[in-house]
Amino acid sequence: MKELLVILVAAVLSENFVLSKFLGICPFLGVSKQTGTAFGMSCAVTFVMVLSTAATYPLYAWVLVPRGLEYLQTIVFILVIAALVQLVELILKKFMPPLYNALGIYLPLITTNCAVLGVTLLNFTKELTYVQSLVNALGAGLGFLLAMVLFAGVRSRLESCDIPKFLRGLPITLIAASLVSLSFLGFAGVADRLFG
Amino acid sequence: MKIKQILFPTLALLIVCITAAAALALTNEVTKDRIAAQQQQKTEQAMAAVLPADRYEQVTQADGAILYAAYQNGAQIGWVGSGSAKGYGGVIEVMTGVDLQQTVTAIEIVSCADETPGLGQNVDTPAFKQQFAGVSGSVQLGENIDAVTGATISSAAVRDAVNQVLTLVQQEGTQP
Amino acid sequence: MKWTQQLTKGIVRENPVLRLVLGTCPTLAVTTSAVNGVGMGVAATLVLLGSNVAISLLRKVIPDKVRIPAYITIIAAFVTIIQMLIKAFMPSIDEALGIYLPLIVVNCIILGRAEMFASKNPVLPSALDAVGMGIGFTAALILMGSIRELLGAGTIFGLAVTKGYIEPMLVMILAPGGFFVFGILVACANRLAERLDKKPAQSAGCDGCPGAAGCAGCDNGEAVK
Repeated sequence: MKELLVILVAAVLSENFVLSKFLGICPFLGVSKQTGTAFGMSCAVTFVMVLSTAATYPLYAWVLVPRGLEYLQTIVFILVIAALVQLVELILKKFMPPLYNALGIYLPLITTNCAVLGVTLLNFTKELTYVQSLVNALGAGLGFLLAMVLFAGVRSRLESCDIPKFLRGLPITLIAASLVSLSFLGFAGVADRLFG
Repeated sequence: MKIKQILFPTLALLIVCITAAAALALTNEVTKDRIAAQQQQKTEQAMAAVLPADRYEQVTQADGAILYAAYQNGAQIGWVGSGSAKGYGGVIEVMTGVDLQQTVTAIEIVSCADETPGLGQNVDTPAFKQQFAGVSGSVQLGENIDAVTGATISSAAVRDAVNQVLTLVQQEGTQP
Repeated sequence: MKWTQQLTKGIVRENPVLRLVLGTCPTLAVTTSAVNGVGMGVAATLVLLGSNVAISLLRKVIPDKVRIPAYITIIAAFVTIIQMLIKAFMPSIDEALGIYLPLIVVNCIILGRAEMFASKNPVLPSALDAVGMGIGFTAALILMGSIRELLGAGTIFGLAVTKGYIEPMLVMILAPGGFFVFGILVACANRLAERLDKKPAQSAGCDGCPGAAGCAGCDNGEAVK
């Protein structure tokens, strides 16, 4: 249990996907203009991350590896993620319209989000077990959410600032992201100390 | 008409998938021996770096650690062991050389690519690795080894990997 | 458009990283050193060349409905092939790039070029487009990798430059340095573009992405269904 907590907290804070691993930068820069959108998008990403981990882990560990087909990892994972996203969209649309209205519009956007493919691949680099992988995916998603929501707040402040002309738009956004990322650097090792 | 509309795209996609899988299988067939040879070569280089010898013979293994006995001119001169432990970003693999007095001769980092560049990857610097030469018994951070600044977790992983090998050597050494 | 233009447009005028702001994830993640920049740039260029040529050849065969999954499959196959070749012949590059090598699959540049260019053009222009875009991507990565390596470690391509004279700023090769250097580079590119009377790369993320409609990672990706 303690181990799972360490993985969760590390994935949210010190190993934050966006701010320390640079995964999912496109939506981070593109969709973080408003807190509401940022929140909805992140929830959808978290959901898909956990779901695709749940699906890809058994597939790789119990189907591909025993048959010596490890080299199909990338292609299988991306196709599974794409198929899952479509499936979830259909199911939500049909059976849970309110949830579909809240999250559904973001679903097609995350098939090629590198954070989703990233988390499914990282579970194996880190040699995690199935349960640990699911927790890691949840943590990665929550970390994404935290970064998006925090940064949406930072960006709304940027709007009202008098910024030098050549820094307006993307450059200042990136520099602000750099400062947010700097603050997350302070979390390094926190998870281990907290529970260790 | 409707069936055709569904059937044709599905078939096209299927053909693309099969072709892709076949291309991958072919490339895998061509490259897999070479990939294995590269890894083998890397292991051998690390072995030769920590304790040069004519011949290495695997004696035991436990929890992913492998211990080899090192022979020079037919006589055993020590052990070489590969150990691994989880670092900050992934698994760190360490090759450790141990002489007959069960003292570490040298260590070599086989892989630490998942650690943070500039911090955790600094475990692969001479200043850190050289501290291990001459250590016997077990490695303790802060006692016989100083951790890399800002990379306690990576340093601890190297410590664990080396201790894994030292434990195996102790078991091996006390057996008749 | 003349063929030389097909080739050169990606290098400066439509530089995928600094002008179109595509493929930001690998740009930020692997540029901790100039060598890594070369590795990622060359790997992505080879994938781009392969996928552009294959998709251009198949552009009349692949039904419109399933084109995105088909493109992703083709791209993923090329990425895996390149990954295996790199593992076999340059294992150190494979180690340095880690999971960012398989993540080339979801690099916006590649799907973007497939959707925007290769699916509409014959093989030769598509190949030239891929090479041009690839060189532009590689050049931007090397530039960024060199700056971060120089400031963060005092070296360029591993050769000591300011090392030993100036204490390097480690933070430049850590995550915040990546965002910061990229921000400044885009600002410089915008300033240069302004001098030349071009529009700045104002849009954050994928708004300015020509492949936005095809790249499902973006804000405008609603078109993909």
